[in-house]
Amino acid sequence: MTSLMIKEDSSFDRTFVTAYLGDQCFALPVLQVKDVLTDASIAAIPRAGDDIAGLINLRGRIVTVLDLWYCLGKPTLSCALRPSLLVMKATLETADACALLVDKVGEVMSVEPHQIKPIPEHLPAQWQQMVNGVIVSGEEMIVVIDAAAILRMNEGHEIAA
Amino acid sequence: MLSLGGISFALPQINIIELLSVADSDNYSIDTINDKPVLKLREKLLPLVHVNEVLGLNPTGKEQEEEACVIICNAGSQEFGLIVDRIFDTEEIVVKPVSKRLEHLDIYSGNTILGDGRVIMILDPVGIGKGMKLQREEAKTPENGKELLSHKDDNHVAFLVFKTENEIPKAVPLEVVSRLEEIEPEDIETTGSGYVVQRNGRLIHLAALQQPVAQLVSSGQPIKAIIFEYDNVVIGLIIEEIIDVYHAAYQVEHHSEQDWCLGHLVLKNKVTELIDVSQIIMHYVPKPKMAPSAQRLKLLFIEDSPVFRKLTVPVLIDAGFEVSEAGEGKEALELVQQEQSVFDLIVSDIEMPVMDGFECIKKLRTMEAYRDIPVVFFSSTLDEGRIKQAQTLAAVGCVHKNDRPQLLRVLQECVEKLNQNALMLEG
Repeated sequence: MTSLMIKEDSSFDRTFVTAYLGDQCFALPVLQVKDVLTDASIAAIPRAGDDIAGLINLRGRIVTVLDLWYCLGKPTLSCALRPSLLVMKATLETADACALLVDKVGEVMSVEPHQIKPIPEHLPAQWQQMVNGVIVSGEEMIVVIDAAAILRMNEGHEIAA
Repeated sequence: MLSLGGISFALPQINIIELLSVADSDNYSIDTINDKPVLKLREKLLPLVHVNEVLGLNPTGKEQEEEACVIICNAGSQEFGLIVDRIFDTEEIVVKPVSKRLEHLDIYSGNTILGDGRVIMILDPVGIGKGMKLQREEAKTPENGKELLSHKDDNHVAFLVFKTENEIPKAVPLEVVSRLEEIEPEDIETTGSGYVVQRNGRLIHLAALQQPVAQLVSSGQPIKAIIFEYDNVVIGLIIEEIIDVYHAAYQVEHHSEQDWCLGHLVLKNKVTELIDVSQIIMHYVPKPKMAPSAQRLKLLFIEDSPVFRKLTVPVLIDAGFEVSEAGEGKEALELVQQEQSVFDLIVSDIEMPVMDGFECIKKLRTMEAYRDIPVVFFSSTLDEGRIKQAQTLAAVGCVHKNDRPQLLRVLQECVEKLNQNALMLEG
């Protein structure tokens, strides 16, 4: 995979951070990611709903960790031995910062627009809302996720206690 | 700081009344009634909550029961015990609000970062109590000390009895007393209209019943005062000494010329003068100005607490209403049927014996004359359920009992609307 080279004219819209959940590779726009953490210790919150993996202490701030697997509709795998976290930027829509739980964080890659293909239609409905496209890179199919959509989906989540 | 199912949590100390260790069971015992654990502690029966269950964690194992502890908390007026695995020490922490995604969980009141960097959740006893659906007991046992402030039992009211310069004991309903203060003479300042003391950035206006304040203040001795707070005005009534707090039925015989005295009642076999707090306060509270109306509007005031009626009705009369009172819903309906002319407004409490506010208004609205009458509810507790119910009855507003200015504001709006309607009918 090509590594990121910052050029004056490079469009950051097409620069992504990749992350792995199991064997599947995902990509998130680099602009939406604030931080990458490895080896975080996550405090579990009983009764908080399965989409929330817990809380972490990020330099004195308490950040909510969302389980990306759950958001995409897959059953939660028990926490990988050393989970990694992508800390997302807080936007105007999402009031507090939050982090996404993934198994492993890959590299940062920059792609040409033509490499992003539209989503195949047979993907489950949940994915349709959150996935912007698929990048074909060599042998791999990398699913491009719209982080804002995931965060939005969670905010409105009403869980009966 | 406590532990449940291996996870650490925090519980605010302010909610904790007592801590008990399960192992040390001389003073109390845990029984089950109908499969629900109950704690018997010094003559009281308290519901017990297995917090592990509320949180969906593994129940306390047998081995852990040795170390288990019970934390007695109170949530509002309800006391109950929480069973937890272990208790650590107390710590001072900085409470951070939970993130928006977690706001709906009422078992937590916040979260925090400990000194060692761990993030832990702060439990909310009220939320946990709700989780186990604790029901408020209607019948209170005599030992329950909470009856001090409740006057719904047999019309007994708590009175604070004190003496001023002469020997006749005086009383004031404890409900209206904010606190007692002892004031140093150096702290007393004069304003154009009287004497004041500054406290916590607010001014306490000094008042006295029989002697002029100037005389009492000039003695050079520290002054004892009963503090009343009302609509952002704080009044300190200068007294000689506090006698005690007595409970008695609110049975007042009216014969007094002084405007601050409502009458006499007998407390502990002594004739005691009952002070009309609203009169004292009205000297200092700016008079509410209602839109002048051609006729005095007839207002029906439904409220079961005689104390509260005595406090609010004079203010309403002063505002220009012709007020009729009823002690509860049924009485109000009877009054309505007896009255020749129709009432223009209703202000009603919600919780009352015999017939409560909601039922009464529901019945009233079936009568032709009262179908559209403006109704304002007030209550000591305003929750969503109540507000929704008030809305279904087409109430104009729902005000908190202590919020007199708000009540007057809402009534002002009603008056304006009624006047507008009257003008429209004429025109």
